[in-house]
Amino acid sequence: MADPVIALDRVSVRYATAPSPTLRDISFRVEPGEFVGIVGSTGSGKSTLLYLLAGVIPHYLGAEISGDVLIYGRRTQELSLARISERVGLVLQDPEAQLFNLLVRDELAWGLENRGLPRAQIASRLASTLSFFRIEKLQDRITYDLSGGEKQRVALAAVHAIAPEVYLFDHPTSQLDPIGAAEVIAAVRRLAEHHEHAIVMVEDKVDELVEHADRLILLDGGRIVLDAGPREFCLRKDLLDAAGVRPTQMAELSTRLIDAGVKLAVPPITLEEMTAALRGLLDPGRGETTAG
Amino acid sequence: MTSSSPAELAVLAEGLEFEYPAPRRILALKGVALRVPKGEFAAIVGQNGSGKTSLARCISGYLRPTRGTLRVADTEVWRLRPAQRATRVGYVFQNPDHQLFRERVWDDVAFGLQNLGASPDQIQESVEQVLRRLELWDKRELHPFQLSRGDRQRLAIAAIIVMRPQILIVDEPTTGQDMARSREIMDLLARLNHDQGMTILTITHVMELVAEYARWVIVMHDGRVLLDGPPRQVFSRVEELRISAISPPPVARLGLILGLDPLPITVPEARDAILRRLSV
Repeated sequence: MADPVIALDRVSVRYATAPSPTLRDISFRVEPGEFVGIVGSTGSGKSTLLYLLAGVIPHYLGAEISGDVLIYGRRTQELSLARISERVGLVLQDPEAQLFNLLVRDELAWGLENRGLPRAQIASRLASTLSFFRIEKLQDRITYDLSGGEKQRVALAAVHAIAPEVYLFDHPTSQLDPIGAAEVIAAVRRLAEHHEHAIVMVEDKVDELVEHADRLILLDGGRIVLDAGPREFCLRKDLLDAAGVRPTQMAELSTRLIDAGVKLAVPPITLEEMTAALRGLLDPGRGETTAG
Repeated sequence: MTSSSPAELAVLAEGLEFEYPAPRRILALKGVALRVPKGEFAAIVGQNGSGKTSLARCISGYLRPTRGTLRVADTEVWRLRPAQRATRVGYVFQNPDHQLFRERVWDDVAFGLQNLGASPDQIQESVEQVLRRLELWDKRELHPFQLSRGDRQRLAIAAIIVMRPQILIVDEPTTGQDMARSREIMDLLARLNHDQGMTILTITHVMELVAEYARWVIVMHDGRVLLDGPPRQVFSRVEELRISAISPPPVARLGLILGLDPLPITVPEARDAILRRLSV
């Protein structure tokens, strides 16, 4: 059987200057083709977890690691950052920290040139990336002149151009309006549909993750307190409240309706599910088609 | 709204245009008409590129309108010197790190008052009051970069409100913040609005927060105000929202689909509306 893309076994991380570990006893696996969302409040350890998966820890940021971090079965501590980055692409939260070429097209081609790809291949990879993220119109623009949302798309596209197998995203839609955010997350979902790829995304927009991610992991105080499919995740109000995270509005509404005695066999967590369930209750003639 | 006389308006815009100068020459505002009464808590919403930030920067006096009328706190604010402007309108940047530059939290808050020529006693008193109010007093000796992102955001707000502007503009206060921190900031703005009567103009993409906090919503699209009104009314205007690519909070969308009237815009409202329908 193929190795999982990512496997962590009882991993703790403590920064040199920190009095206590930032991550504690973290274990989880990501299989090929999976899209895993990471959710937690500020300071819960989300970014540290991404840096650990990207090899930034320990190769760039010094920290004490206990336990094994395996990417395709290899320990990241024993691989160079250059080797890790051939397979793992990290998209940072602040696109300005990532973009450094003058023109958008150069930003996208840079990683490919760096790897010595032939010109024709660079051109075709560039064209497919521009169309995948719908940024053809931006290719001749100056990167520092772009809006925040445009920068974020270009940073995503620049990582996509390198064609990594594992994508790590740190709040990839923080600068985008809701429509742009939905588009980008849907595009990311398409990446995971190629089965050799896997995606780990830190994102506060639980609504978007619930639509697209296979699993959501809740971090609280450096520990994984919940690792579950979207529905189970959204309905664990106790754990979410304690971690300072809100589920989808529809999951909150489900919980409140159930508390008030409304019979919802499968608690809806998305608008589509809620609409179907309530139409069944409000108009029982159509109920047969709406049972979850 | 339209009955307010100019003296009661925080913002009055008519045919307001703004064009970024050469070489960009982008007409960002194409004739904005807007009236915001004093004491309002308003949210400016719209897609990236719709003109939200250009409008906010014109209102702040930072950009000079190219054509049309713009009166802010009954003055042509871009004509004022920065020190005169600061007591009328304050602008808090989206990224607090673009604004904070002193080496001590206390100094960042005192800076504006020093510029206004306040006396040392006044400065001492006002800075302490604001730092206590924003729960930064215990951190007054720290370097701003030693603070968490949430604390830096509050510090950026403190550095502006210490000058007691009549109007506070806050650009995307929730970007990069989790929901709990976003609510803390909105709660703070609500208190400033309620206790001091400060007019709040906030730019945001988070419609759940708009529904909970704003009393007036300004929908920007293609350099113009497409629609403005109370949140419940705005979130029921399906056609305009489709044009401006604004998605109301999920509970409001549910209410529209199920024909709930009045339209719920928060989770408790949706629960109550559904329970009423079920018990009929």
